[in-house]
Amino acid sequence: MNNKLSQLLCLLWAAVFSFAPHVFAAEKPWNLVTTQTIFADLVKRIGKDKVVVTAIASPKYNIHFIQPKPSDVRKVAKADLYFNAGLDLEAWSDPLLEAAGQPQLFRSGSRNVDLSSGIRLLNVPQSAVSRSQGDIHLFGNPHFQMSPENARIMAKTILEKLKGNDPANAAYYEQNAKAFLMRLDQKIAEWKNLCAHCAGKEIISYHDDIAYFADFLGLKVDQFLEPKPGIPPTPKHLQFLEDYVKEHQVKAIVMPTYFTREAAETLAKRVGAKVVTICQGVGEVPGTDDFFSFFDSNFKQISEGLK
Amino acid sequence: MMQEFFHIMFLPLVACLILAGIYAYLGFHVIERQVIFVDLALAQIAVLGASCALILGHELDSVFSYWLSLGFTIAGAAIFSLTRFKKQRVPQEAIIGIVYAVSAAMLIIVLSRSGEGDEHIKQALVGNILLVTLPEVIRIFIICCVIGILHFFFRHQFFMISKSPDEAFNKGLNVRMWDFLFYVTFGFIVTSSVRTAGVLLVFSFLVVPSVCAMLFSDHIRTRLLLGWGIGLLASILGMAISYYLDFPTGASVVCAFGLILLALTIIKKLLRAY
Repeated sequence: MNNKLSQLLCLLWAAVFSFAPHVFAAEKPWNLVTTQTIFADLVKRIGKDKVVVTAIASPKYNIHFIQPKPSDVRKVAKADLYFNAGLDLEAWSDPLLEAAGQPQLFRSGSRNVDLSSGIRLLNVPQSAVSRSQGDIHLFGNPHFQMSPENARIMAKTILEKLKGNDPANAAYYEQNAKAFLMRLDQKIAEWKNLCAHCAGKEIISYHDDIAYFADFLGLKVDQFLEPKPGIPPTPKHLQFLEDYVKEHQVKAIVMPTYFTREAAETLAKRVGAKVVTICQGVGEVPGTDDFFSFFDSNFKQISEGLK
Repeated sequence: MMQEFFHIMFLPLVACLILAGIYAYLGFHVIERQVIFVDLALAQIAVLGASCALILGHELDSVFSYWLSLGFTIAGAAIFSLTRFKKQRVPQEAIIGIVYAVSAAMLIIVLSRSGEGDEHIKQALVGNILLVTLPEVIRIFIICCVIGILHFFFRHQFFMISKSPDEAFNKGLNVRMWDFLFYVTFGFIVTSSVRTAGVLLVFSFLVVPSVCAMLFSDHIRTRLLLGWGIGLLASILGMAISYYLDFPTGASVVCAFGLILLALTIIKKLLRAY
């Protein structure tokens, strides 16, 4: 009888193991990791309940300088796909990928998704650059998430990647992407309308992280609080900006939350301009918890700042 | 779980153990000479060298940058060995403090005039031991071995100039030359490890094991062995804290050092009470 029992158990065992993987494989959502929160939101909009998405970088910090923790290495090591801005934005990303030790996730690996692909880059250096010009971006301005137009291209990149890796659900992803793009079209019209009066006006930005945002609205940005990218404002530069702002009637100085505000406040006070907070990441301030509310907030801020 | 711990924390742990090995030994000298902050000063000088290289158009991780910061460090070594006298009127700590402040200020000036954003430079002083790579570990290991062997061969001279400089002077030892050699080798290690581990962690590796060991023994050998044991313990404890509580790795190891020092002080008091 013992023998029979064990036979039965064996059968049961075999049954569970021959069916279980299929069941689990079908139900288990993918584990996707992104560098920025805005990418995570976009991926989630297209993958919906088929994916679990986590972002590494907190939007409260400058995206150039993130200090990954052990849990970040663990997250990346288990990731099915890794979405990032490519270019040279996330300086900590390559060492992080290396620490996680999955070659397919490395730059140009099959599971690494470079969201800058297909995007028309701004500020691409025309001549040879040297480090004496500051933290120069060799490939062009990498803060491309700041224009909602670029979300169309990113959404397509994400869709292709999800479809390619999970053809069984291709139709599902297509449908989600389509719904997102339709809503995006509506919102872009709404935002353009809200900010129609901004076109042609000039602003000053703390860092050169606003180029795509400005391009979308037709704003002019020639001067930055940083004398060179990555270098904090100096007294002489502030003096120069003071004269510049007066001469060009600049009304708004824009910056995200993570730079120190003193220099911008000082300049604003001296010339009677406003400091406008333009977020760089989803969740940087309360009320910017997803893609649409993030842009809602930014466009509302700039629209009011330039009234 | 354990397997994952090793997958993620193995290289950082190995790097910590190598650094613990060399710094526990160097810490002994540094404490005897009462030049506790010399590593901070040398690290600052090295970073100044690296940022000068940047202005000349060489990336932070280029060979030129490495050699220039090493050159600066050697100049620093020369300053420290030339300011040590038989009858010390100005304490060496004061000189070290001045060198630190001036090189930090020069760094600000250099960066303000041209060059890289200062956040990259700050990064070079902070380091992130969690993301250390295998080539980096191997490089640090080789450098530590070479310098360890050098110090082993000349241990009598090095220990004598650190522990009893008067005796060394009287015996006719070229104290200045040995001092210079000491600071050059020390600077070599600091320059090579600060970018990986950061100044805070390097400082802790240097000072805490020696201080802990001093609580319990006066003998060189015992103090060295105790120091290594404590470095090992703090590294493992720090890795565990960082992994299980998900804290930044370098800072966790520094705090582990603090905890161990505290625990040992209490143990010492209890031992004395009974």
